[in-house]
Parts: sequence; structure tokens; C-alpha cells
Amino acid sequence: MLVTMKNAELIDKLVVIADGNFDLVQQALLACADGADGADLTKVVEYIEAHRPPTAPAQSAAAA
Amino acid sequence: MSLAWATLALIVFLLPGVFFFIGLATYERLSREIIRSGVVSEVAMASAIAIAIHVIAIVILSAVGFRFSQFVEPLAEFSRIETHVFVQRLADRLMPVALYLAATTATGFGLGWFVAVNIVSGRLRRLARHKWIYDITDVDRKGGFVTAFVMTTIIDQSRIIMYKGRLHDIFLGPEGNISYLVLRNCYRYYMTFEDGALTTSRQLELFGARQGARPANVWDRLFIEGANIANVLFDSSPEIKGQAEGKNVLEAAFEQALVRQAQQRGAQAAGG
Repeated sequence: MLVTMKNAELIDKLVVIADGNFDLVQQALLACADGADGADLTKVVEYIEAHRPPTAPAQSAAAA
Repeated sequence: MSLAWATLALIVFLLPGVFFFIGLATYERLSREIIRSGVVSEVAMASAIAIAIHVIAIVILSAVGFRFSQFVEPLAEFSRIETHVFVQRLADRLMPVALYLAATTATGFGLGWFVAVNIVSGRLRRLARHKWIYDITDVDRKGGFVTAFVMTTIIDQSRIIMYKGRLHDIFLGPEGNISYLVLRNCYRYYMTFEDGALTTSRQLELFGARQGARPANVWDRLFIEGANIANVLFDSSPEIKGQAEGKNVLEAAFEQALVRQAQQRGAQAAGG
């Protein structure tokens, strides 16, 4: 049986806002999480914009 | 002819039970795998549910004055009455029977949907065969995502190739084993076993320096076959709340990001 994540569109947009930096999206959700209530979307977007590197996150090594 | 009528009556009788399974599968595709263990057991389960719903429905109708014997008895006199009288009696009962079937079938559907909702959300999780997969679907339904850390079976000397990425698809075999995984936003790294300790290397984006600069309308998927997976660590994110309220903020930031990235690509192209 196939299980497909249905929430991909929202996360895709957050990754685009983070200039492709998936780690920053993860970090934003953890930082904005308010106990068991989860993370508020507006705060997550603001966190990503505040912590996004000024240039593209081209800090990884050569392409696979 | 009587055999055909008996078959039709049986199908109509089982409708609430059949629609229970349809309701079960409507909310969550996985729910089809919960109770079904074979055709015979599924028919037995549908029969049991249909009987229960019919009994409860007739008890409720009896409480408000309906008498089953008075409803059916005039039809049993078909051998002693004129045909047109029998047809008239039958026609008089068609609408109540249709309404009864619609109500019991809707009840079966609603019951199935209710059971599926409670299995996914956790209150009836004990009915599921492979419970852990519902933790993943529940995170997805609540607006979060799951990060998978995959240890492969590919080993070079003391280095084990590993991948990290956002879980996109997972295909479970009948025994609950992973047939394949599809990841997005992937990183590669390796784990080594040195001096009695497990250490992991730096995580590198699969597309290297270009990963962040890729246009938003292109996509990537990393397919990992189950045979190449030694184990997987699933890590859930917090739930994302306030999606309706934050939609405008998200869209505005998304549009700005697209414009900014297009400008960056244009500047890079101009710079050679």
C-alpha cells in the first residue's frame, strides 16, 4: 500500500522561501513550536525570512 | 427466479456493511488494510455490521410505533389475493423501504468513516495491523512533515552511505516492510565506525551548491528501494497551525522568493 504525503505543497513553498535550504525550514518549525500546540505558519515564515542567508545557501560540497 | 430474488435481497441486506468498508476507505486509503484479512472474513464482517445496523434500526422504528409484522404480513398473502392488489401493496411499500435502505446505508458509511478517523487519530489505533504508519499519516494531516534518515546497505570499507530527506512516498508491503521510499530535499552523508564510536559526516545537498538556486518549478525525488535500506529513522516536525490565517503571509513571501531567485539567476547568467 502506498502512502503519499498530502501536505507537500505547503512545505515546498516554505523550502522555496528558504532558498532551497530545507534545514532552515526544519529549524524554523522547531524554533516556532509552542509546546504541544505546534508552530504558527506566520511565525515560521517570518523566522525563515529573518534567518535566511543573504545569498543562496551555496555552502555544500560539489554535486553528487 | 426465486434464486435471483434471494440474491438481490441478500445484496440489499448487506448494503450497510458494504458501505461501512467504503466509508472506512474514503477517509484514509490505508484503512482498507486494517480489518480485511480475506474475502471470507470481509463478507462475514460486512454481514455482522449489516445485521447490527438493521437490528438497531428496527428497534428504533419499533419504539416510535412501527410494527415489522404488520408491514410484511400483507405481502405474505400473495397467494390468496388478486395480482393487482398485491402489486398495489408492494408499490405502497417501495418508498418506505427505499428510505429505510438509504438511512441504514448512510449509517454504515458514516460508521466506517468514523472508525477510520479514530484509527488515524489514535483512539482506535489498536485495530490497525501496522500502527506506526498512522503516526506518519497523522503528522501529514496536521500540516507537518516527516524527515527520514536512511541507512543504506551500501558499505565501503567502514563507511555506510546514508541519506536524509523529507518523506514524500512510502510503499509498505503486506507484512509492513518498506518496499521503497521516495524522499525530497535530500542530503547525503556517511556513517563510520571508528574507535568504538559511530560518527556521521557532514550532510551535503545532493545537487551541491546548485540546490538552493534551482528554480521553484523543478523538482527532485530520491527513490530508495527497500532492499537497499538497512534501517530508517523517522523524525516528525511540529504541527503547522494557523494555516488559514497565515496563507496571505506565505503567498506574499513565496512570490517575493520567486522574484528574488529569478533576479539572482539573471545576475549569475549576466556574470557568466
